[in-house]
Amino acid sequence: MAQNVSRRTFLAIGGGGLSAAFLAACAGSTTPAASTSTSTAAAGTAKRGGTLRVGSIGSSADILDTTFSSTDIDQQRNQNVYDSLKYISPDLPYQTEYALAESIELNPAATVATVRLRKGVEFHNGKSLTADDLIFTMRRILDPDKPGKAATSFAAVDPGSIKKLDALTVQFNLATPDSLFAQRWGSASTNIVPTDFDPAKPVGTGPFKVQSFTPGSRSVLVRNPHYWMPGEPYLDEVEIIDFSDNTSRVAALLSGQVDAIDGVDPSDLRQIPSGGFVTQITKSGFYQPITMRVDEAPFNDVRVRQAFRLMVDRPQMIAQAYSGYGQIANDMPFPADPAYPDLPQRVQDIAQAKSLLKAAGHEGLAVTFTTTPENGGLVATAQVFAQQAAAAGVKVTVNDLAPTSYDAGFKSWPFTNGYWAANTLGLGYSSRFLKSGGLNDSHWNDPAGAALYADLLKTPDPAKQKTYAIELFQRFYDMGPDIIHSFKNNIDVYSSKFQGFQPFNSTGWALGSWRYRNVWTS
Amino acid sequence: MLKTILLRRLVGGIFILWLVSVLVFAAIHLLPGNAATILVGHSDTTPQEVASLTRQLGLDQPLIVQYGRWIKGLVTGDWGTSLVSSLQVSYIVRTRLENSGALTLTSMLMLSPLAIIIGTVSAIRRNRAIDHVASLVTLCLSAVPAFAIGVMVIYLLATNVVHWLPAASILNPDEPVWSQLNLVIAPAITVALAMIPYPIRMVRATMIEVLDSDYVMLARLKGIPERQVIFRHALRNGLGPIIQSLALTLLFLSGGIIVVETVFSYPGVGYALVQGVSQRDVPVVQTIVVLLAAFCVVINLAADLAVAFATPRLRTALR
Amino acid sequence: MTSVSPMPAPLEAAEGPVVALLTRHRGLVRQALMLRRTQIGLAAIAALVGLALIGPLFAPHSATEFVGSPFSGPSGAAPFGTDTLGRDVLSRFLDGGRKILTIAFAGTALGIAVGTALGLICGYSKRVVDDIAMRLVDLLMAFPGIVLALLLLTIGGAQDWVLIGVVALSFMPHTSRVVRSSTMQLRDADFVLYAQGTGTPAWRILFQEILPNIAGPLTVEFGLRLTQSIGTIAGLDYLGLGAQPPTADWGLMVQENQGGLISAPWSVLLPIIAIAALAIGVNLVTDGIAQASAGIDRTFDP
Repeated sequence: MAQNVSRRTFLAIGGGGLSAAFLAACAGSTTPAASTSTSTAAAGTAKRGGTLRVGSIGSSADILDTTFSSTDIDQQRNQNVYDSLKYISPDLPYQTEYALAESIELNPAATVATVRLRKGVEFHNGKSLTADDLIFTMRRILDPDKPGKAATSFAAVDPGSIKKLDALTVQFNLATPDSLFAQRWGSASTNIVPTDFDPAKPVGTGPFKVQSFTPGSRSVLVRNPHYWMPGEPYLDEVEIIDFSDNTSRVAALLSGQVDAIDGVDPSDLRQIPSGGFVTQITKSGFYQPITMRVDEAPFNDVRVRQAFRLMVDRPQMIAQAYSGYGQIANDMPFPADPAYPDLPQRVQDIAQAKSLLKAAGHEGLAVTFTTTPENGGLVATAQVFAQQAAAAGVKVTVNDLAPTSYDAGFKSWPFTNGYWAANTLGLGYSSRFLKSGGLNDSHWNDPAGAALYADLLKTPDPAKQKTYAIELFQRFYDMGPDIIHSFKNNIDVYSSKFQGFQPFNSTGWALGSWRYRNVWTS
Repeated sequence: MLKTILLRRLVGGIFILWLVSVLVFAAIHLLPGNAATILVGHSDTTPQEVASLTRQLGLDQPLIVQYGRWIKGLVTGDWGTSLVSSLQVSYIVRTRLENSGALTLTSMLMLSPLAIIIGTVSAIRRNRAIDHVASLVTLCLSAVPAFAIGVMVIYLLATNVVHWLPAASILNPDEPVWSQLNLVIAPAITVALAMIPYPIRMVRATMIEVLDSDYVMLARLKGIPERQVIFRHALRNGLGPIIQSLALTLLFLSGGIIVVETVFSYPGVGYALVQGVSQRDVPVVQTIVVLLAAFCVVINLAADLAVAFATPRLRTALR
Repeated sequence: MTSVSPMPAPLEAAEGPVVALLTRHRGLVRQALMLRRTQIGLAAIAALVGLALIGPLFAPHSATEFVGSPFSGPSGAAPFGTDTLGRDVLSRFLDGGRKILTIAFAGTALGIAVGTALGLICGYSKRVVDDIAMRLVDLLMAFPGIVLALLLLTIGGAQDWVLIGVVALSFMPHTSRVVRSSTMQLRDADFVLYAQGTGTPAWRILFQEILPNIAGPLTVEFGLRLTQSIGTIAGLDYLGLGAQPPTADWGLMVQENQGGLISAPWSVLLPIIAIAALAIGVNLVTDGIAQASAGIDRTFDP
C-alpha cells in the first residue's frame, strides 16, 4: 500500500473488511439545513463556466511547491494544480483509483514495484508526462538534504536503484518490503512534477493552472483546457482567498464575497441562514488530537499521559467544542481500519487522574496549551480542556497563536493540538508515529512499534497485517502520545448555486477533498 | 513672520519625531530577557540558534550602533522583516497605508460637512431645543468607545436588523480600494460617529464667538440678510479655528482607526499594528508606531499652515 | 473626547481659600444634583456599579461552567442564551464588570494624581523646569494614546499594573497641561503672594492654596478621564490585550461572541450596553458638575 503524506493530512487505503460500527456511524454523513449535496452523476447535467471563490484559513507560509505541501490550504491548491499516480475515492472502504498511473504492480515479496503511466497526459506547458518525470519526482521527495513531506512514506524506496523500463514505465526497488506501496499515492505531497519544475512558475498536470499566487492573500487558478480527464473541469476559474480567523470567513460567505468555506467552526453553523446555502457534514475518522511531547517532562512519563487522557469529559468536549458534531473516540486513530479494536471506552475519571499524577510526582501541574484557529474547533477544544483539567488540579494556560506563528514553531510545542485526516493504520502510521516521521509532532519514539510496523509492511496478506495492526492499536490505547477524545465531523458551507461537492468519508478532507474539477455552477 | 513660525514648528516636529524614535527603540530593547529569544518567539530554540540569530540581527552590537542602523533603515525605506511572516515590513505596510488612507478620507468626508452643519445650527439656535438635543446626543456618543459603536453598526446594518453592509471588510488586494467602497462604508460610518462629537463642539463654540463678534454685528446692522451673514461673513471668519479643530479631529482619528479596523478586520495599518502587538512582531510594531507619529507631526504642521492662510492677519504678514 | 466646557475662572474670595472651597463645594454638589442629567447619570452609575459588584452573587451559574450548546438563543438554563463555548451569558455578564471598573478607576486616579502634581509644579516653577517638563509632555502627546498603550503592552504584557499605567499615561499629559494653565493663572493671585510673603514653603502653597482652588475644574477633569478610561480599558480587553480567557469581562465578551451575533445577539449586546451605559452615566454626571460649576462661578463673579 502506498502512502502519501503531507502535514496534517494522510491518504489511506482500505484493506479487506471494515470496522462495522464505524461504517455505520459514517453512513450518516448528511447535509441538514438545506439540500443534500449530490455527486455529478446524480444531479443532472453539469454546465461549463463560472468562478468559484473559496475562503480558507491560510498564511504567508502558503506554498505552491506541492512536494512540500504543509497545511490544508496547500492541499487544496495543489490537489487542483497537480495530479498524483492515484486519487482517493470518497467513500469507505478506503480505495485509490488510478490517475496518472495506469497500473502499479508489486512482486509477491513486496520489494519491487512497477508503475505504468497513462498515455497522452500533458503538463500545463505542453510537455508530455513521461517516466522521467516520475523518477524526478520520487528523487525529489527522497532528497536527503531537503526531503519532501512524503519522504517517510516512501522510506522503503531505494533512490539509487530506480529503473526506467521504457518511456512510460518505471521500476522501483524497495530496500525493505512495503506491501502498501501502491496505496501511498493521492495526497498533494505525492503529486508528480515535471523534470524542469520551477517553484516560481509551477506547472502540473492538474485540472487548473496557476494564474496568480500571493501567499497569505489569494491565488487564482484557471481552467486547464487540455486536462486528461474528459469533460472536466467545468469551472472557468477558482479563487482561493486566505483568512486568518473563522468569524470573518463566515461574514464573507454571508455577504457574498466568497462562495464556499471549508473546515467551518461548528459554533458558526447557527449563523448560516436556512436558504441559499448548503451545509455539508462529513463524518469520518478525521480527528483533532491533543498531542503531548513525549521526549521531555512531564509527558515522558506514561502515567502523566494516561492521567491527562482521564481528565477529558468526552461527551462534554463534543457538546461544547464541536456543538455536538462529533463521535466519541477512544484514544486510537484510524477507526475505519479493519483492525480497529473494541477496547473499553475511556471515560472521565478525575480521581484516578489525580492519583496517577501524584504517583508520577506531578501534583498540581501547570502546562501551556499552544493552539491556533487554523482549523475550526481547535481553539475551543483547548479552552474546554483547560476547564476540564482544572477539576484535577492541573492549571492549563491556553496560548492562542496566529496560524503563521503556530506553523513556524510546528513540532516544538510541548502541549498542543492538531488536525489530521482519516486513514488506515498502515498508511497513517509512518508520518506521525515513526521516529523519523516528517509530521511526528509528539516526538514519538517506539522501537517495538516500529518493528511491528515493519512486519506489517512485509506481508501482503490482509489477515496477517491485521494481527500486527491490532497490537499497534493496543499500544496507542495504553501509552500513546495523543488524547483522541472524538472524531470531529468536518463541516463545509457553500452557496447553493454550486453543485458537485461530495462528502469524503474516507479522509474527512474538507469541501469534498477540494475536488473542484467535479464542481459546477448553474 | 509666518516663515519663522513654520520653520520653528518644522524643527520642533523633527525633534519630536527623533524623541519618539528613541522612545520606541529604548522600549523594545529594554525588554527583559534575551532579545533574540523573544524575537524568535518559541520555546524550542537551541542556544546555538539563539546565538546565530543574535549575530544575524546585530543584537550583539552596542545599542548606539543598533539604533543608528535602525534609523538609517527607517529613513531609507528598509523597515526590516516581519518576525511572523518573513515578509518585508515595507511591503506589508505599503498596501495597508493605502487602505487606511481610504478609510480616513472617507470618514473625514462624511463627518466634516456634518459637523460644520450641526455645529453651526447649534450655534445659531443656541440653548434652544435643537441645541440641547444635539449636545445630549454628542455627549452620549462621545462616551461610548469606538469598538462598541463598530459592533453596534454591524448589528444594525449588517447582521441582525438589516443586511445592507458586509460584517467584515475583506478587501481584495489585487483591486484598488476605490473599486470596493462598499467594504469601506461600515468602518467609515463607525469612525465618523466616534470622532464627530469633538468637531461639532468646536464648530459650535467657534461660531458662537464669531456670531457674537463686532464684525458680524456690523454686517447685520448694515442690513445684510442673515443667510449671507452666516455664510459669507461668519463662516469665513470661523474657518481658521474650524480647520484647526478638523485637523485635531484627524489626529484623534489616527488613534481611533486602530480599534475600528480591528472590529471589521479591515486590512489597514491599525489592524496590522494590533496583530503585530499580539504576535509580538517587533519590526512591524516599531515601524507603524514611528509612521503614526510622523503622520501626527505632519498633520500638526499642515494645520498650522492652513490656519495661517485662512487667518487674514497672518496672511498679510507673508508679504 | 468628552464634553469640554470652557474652564471657569478661579475664585478669589475675601474670606480665604478654605472657607471658599467649602462654600463652593456644597453649592456645587447641590447645584449639580438639581440637574436632570446628573440624576440620570448617577442612576446609571449606581445600577451598573451595583451590577458589577453584587451581580455575581445572583448569577444562576458560574462564569465558566457549560450550560448548553454554543451560541444558542435564550432557554430555561440560560435566559440570555449561551456564548461561544456554551457558557451562560447572564452569569458571565454579571461577573464581567469588576475588572473594568477597578482598572479604569485606579488608572484614572493615578493619571489625575500624577498629572495634577506635574501641572502644579510646572505652572508654579521657573521657566527652565517648566520648559523641560513640557517638552516631555509634548512628546507623549505626539501620538494617540492608544499607540503608546499598544507599545507598552508589547513590552510589558497584559498584566494589571501595566494596564493601570497605560490608562494613566493615556491622558496624564493633557491633565498636566490643564492644571498647569490653571496654576499659572493663580500664580499671581493675592492670597498666593500673601502666602509667599509669610514664608510658606512652595509645596504648601501648591497643595493648600492653589489646589483647592482648582478643585472644580479638576473634578470635571476626573470625570472626563474616567469616561475615557472606561472606554480605553474596555477597548484593550476587546483587542485581547487586557483580560485573558477564560476570565469573564465585558470587553472580552464582545470580541469572543462577535461571531455569534446572528444567533445569540445577547452575548454581545449585554456587555456593550453595560459599557456604553456606564460611560454615558459618568459623562452625564461630569457634565452636570461642569454646568453647576460654571453656574456657581457666574453667581460669584463680581
